[in-house]
Amino acid sequence: MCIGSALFILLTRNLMYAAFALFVALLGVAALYVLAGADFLAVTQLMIYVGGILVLLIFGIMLTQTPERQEATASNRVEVLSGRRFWGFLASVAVFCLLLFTLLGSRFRLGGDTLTSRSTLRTLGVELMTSHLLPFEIAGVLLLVALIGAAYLALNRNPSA
Amino acid sequence: MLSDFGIILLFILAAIVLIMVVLGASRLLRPNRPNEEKLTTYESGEEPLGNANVQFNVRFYVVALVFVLFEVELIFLFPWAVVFGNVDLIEQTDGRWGWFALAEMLVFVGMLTLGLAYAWRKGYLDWVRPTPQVPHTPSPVPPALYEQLNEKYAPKVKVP
Amino acid sequence: MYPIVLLSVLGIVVLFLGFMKSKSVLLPATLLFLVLALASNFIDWNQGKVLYFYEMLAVNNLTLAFNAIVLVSAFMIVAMTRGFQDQEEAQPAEYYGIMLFSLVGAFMIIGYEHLIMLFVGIEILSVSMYILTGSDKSNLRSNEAALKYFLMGAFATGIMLFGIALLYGATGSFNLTDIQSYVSIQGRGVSYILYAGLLLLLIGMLFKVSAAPFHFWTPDVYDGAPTIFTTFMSTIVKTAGFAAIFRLLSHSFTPIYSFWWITLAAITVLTLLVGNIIAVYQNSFKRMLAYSSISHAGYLLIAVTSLSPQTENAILFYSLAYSIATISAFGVLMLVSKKKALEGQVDESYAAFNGLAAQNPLLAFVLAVSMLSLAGIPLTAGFWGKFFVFGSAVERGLVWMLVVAVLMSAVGIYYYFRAIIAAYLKEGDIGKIRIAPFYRIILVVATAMTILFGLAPGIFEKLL
Repeated sequence: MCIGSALFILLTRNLMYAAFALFVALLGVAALYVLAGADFLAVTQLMIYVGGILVLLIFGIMLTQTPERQEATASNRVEVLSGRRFWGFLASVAVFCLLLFTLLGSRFRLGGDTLTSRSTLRTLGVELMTSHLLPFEIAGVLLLVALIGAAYLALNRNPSA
Repeated sequence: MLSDFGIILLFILAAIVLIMVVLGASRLLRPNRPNEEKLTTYESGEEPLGNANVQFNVRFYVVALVFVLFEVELIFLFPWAVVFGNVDLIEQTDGRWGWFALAEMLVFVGMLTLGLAYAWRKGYLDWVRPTPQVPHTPSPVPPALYEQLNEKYAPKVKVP
Repeated sequence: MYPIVLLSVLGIVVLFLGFMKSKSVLLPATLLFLVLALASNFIDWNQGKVLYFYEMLAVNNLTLAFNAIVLVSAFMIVAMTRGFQDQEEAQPAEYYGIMLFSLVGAFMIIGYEHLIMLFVGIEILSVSMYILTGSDKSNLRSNEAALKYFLMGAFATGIMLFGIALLYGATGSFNLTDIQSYVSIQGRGVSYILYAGLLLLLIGMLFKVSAAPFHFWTPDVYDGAPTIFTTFMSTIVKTAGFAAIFRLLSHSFTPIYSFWWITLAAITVLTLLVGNIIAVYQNSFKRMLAYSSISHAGYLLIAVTSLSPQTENAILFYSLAYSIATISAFGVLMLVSKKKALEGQVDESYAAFNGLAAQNPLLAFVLAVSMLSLAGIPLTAGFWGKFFVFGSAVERGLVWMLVVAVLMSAVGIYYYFRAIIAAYLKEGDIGKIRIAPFYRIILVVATAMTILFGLAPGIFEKLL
């Protein structure tokens, strides 16, 4: 489901359909998180990506859409020089091989305690309050910067003036 | 033994199956005679006008941006809320844990609240009002003349 | 660690100071805050290695020295922002606030002990830079630069995060010391995941300091961003980024030096070649400085690659010399191009400097000294920076790399001298440029420091 809708995003010409396919893809990723036993991450994925970022994305599409050009006729293909295409292809194949090699060469075994079905939420809370205190607070600063910057850049004028 | 997420999965499956059963049954039972009127979009009885894909205004975008940021903050609040009132932890630390956690969260939330206050004060959150367009007719006749005409031909009202 | 807390709070204070009626209080307040941070930075001086916040941050003299360089550069840059207030549209409170926050990010990646800290720090630094790059909203080039930087930067961050995840998978820890002990116990037998993770993490970080195969964003972004923020990017982000790379490699991964040095050496040579040779073909002074910053990343990478006992000092001295020279070069450029803009057209090419020396001997001198220092001519700080870097390479026996580097600095002399020639020998019609007294002081101090460190590099070593 995940891969199918991701392919659909790549191939479709309608931006709106692509956004809705992304919705399915993100849901699929959330399901993968659940299967991997990361319940908090799954909820986060649902709330932030599906609930927040996708809405933002659709707003963005509707914002930039011009009424005249309803259906894009041009293909999605990006024109690149053939030389660059060659190098890009080579690089991506190299990275793929590297990662595949890594994946095959590694032994996956669980170090430490066995996987429990207990929720990760409580552990996460305690960790966040004690040992990961500084990143937590600094993440607040990061969000603050993002808030100011987003508000500053998104509006095309100086509202106080 | 089903986990919580297993139950959710069951719910999702049940919902899909139920809808398929209901719609499938009605499809089998109902007569199929579509016409123009029936196929239009349902808009509470109004005639639909134009395409639904209209261009949105920027103001929605800013609100959505701020919304996403605060949603991220909310996500951080979740694990905190679970352990904040934990009796075991509070007893282990003679109650210091609760105050400590509360203070940390206040700093975190306070920082973002200050940011929000900043954006508010700056007017980023103001709803962008469209400036009303005053109709302007390029007429060679100055408005004062119109006034005179009105005065002249206005029906005389007797002032008692 | 004190400056982190201090600047987080003071950044918010600056934001709210912006609501006051008079904007003139902002600049002195920001400068004061930077001085406060600098003072608080030295509370931990000579305490040895101290760990803060459950082993999240490490503080020792090296990180403090890097912090100090970053703070001094920031002080100079902020001091040069005088004149922002004149503009109608500008909102200095936001610029200053975001600059202070980005310094928090810089400190974090200088002194991180935990990979999550590295990630959050780089994010703060990058997000601030995206915003500052796009801050000139009426300028299309600035917008384009911001978008380009943002897309590429987000991609690089993703790669870096993947690398961190793989490292965690291999070693079971985010902590640098734990990773180090894991690597040294396992020796050569570490799993491939670790290698792949290290590689991806390095790619992400090298992107941020614009090393060669990952440099494509640099010229456009440096060119499009407002000059003052280009200065900020090319000094502070670079210094902090190199501190972070050095910390990662020297702290955790010395046992597998034989693995990463080849990769890094290849990147170094490529960076040197690309940066210096393309810089020759540039007509815009600002674009030339962008390529020059790529090539300086190459020199710094030499020091990192050779990883000898001297490297610490070499990187430190080089970043200081490079930062000061870059700041004064950009400072002169800003004055000249502003003057040109007043006369009609924005001109950031070499030709803008034509005849600078006739009317403005001070500016021409400052420009000349900074160019000489960047080119690495003796009697300037840049020479000793290069000298130390090459020295550490010799100690490791990387002679072939040294040959490339020396050849490339010879190429570098050509394009740096073009600016000096334009300023002194070419005819031009630049009138007298009025310099704000504060601005003048900063330029003079920067030049004096360049010459002082050039004459007596020993001063600096005694300080440490």
